[in-house]
Amino acid sequence: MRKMTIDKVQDGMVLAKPLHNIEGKVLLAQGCKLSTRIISRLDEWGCDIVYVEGEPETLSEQKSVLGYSCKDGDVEKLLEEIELRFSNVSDDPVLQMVKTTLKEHLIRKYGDHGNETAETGESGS
Amino acid sequence: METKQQKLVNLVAKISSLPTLPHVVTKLEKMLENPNVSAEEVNRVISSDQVLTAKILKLVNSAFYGFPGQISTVTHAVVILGFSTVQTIALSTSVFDLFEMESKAGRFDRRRFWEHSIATAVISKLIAQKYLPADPEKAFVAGLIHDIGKVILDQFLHVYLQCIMEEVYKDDILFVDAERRVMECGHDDMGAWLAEKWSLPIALREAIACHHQPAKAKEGKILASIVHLADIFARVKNIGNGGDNHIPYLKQDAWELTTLGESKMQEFYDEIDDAIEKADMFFSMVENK
Repeated sequence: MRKMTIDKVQDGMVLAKPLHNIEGKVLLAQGCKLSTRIISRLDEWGCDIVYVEGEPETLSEQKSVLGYSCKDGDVEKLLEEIELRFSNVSDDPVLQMVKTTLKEHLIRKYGDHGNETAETGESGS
Repeated sequence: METKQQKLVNLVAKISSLPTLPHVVTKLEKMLENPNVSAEEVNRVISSDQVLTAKILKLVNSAFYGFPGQISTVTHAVVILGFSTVQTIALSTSVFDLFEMESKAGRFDRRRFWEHSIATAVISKLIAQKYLPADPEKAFVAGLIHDIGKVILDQFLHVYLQCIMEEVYKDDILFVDAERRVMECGHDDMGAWLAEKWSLPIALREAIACHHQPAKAKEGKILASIVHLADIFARVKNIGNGGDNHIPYLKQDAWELTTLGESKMQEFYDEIDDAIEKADMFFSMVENK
């Protein structure tokens, strides 16, 4: 998935994430092919950034997907990463609760429907 | 014996040209003290800087502020979003512009650092709006510049930063712990010192100085507590990188000020995801600089 500002979007690119307006209404579905006509309207719709299909081409695109990545839906690996990040605070009860609930959150996001991760905003770069 | 303050003074004396905020931003800070200031007056000040005006309009029209593509003038922005929001935006974009995005050399990644700072700002605002009531705009600014001392280290005292990063990697420890091994005053003191030079309000300076120990803050205790927690949750959610790969200890007294608890965590994580996504424009300002 590539994340880019609308000025870099080109004719023929395919949306990797649905495009929402501010009320959360879907303007364009995931998989929609962007035509010149659509691209010219993105600005009017108040869209700044779109996610399109394809491998990142620049360093900034590579680094632009924020948060945890869950490559190939491998939740187990993600949970191991969490354990490692929290390894220095194992004696802090609040942070242990934070860790447990974070894992629940990530399982909820990536676990049951690994293929839908592209819609959640934090999938792999 | 030298006091901590003297050590800080000795260190920062090595900095030859201190980054200063644009005149317009300083002026806005002063104007905010007057409750009767009009949208038109604010517009007149900001419009004197065309580049700043363009950036402000770009940000106020982003999803983060809830009126995408609907605000055409600075006056309009002040009326709809309030002076304090517009001022926050002016300060935020100016701070990005003061420092280069590429780190000098070595292991400190300045872009990922700014991602951490923006995430902390966004989460601070969320906490201030919902879990520990405070001025959301002040919380955003405090979160954004809480680690500004690290950029000073990178840009002006690079040798120290390199030593710190070596310690971080050698022993896989927190930046703040490595820093204590290398120097006696920290990025928190240094950031607060810069904020004072920039004439930022005392609560904000304290929030920077005490984001690792919010209990030490006086006027800025709430703000420092918010930033302390937001800093941790930006790390918990793995957004950006503050210089190390671990979670710092959470101060119980800061946590207890909030209404957060186990039953609210799922909602809180979803809100963070949502707010981070809406803050896209801030992140892309850093990426595309």
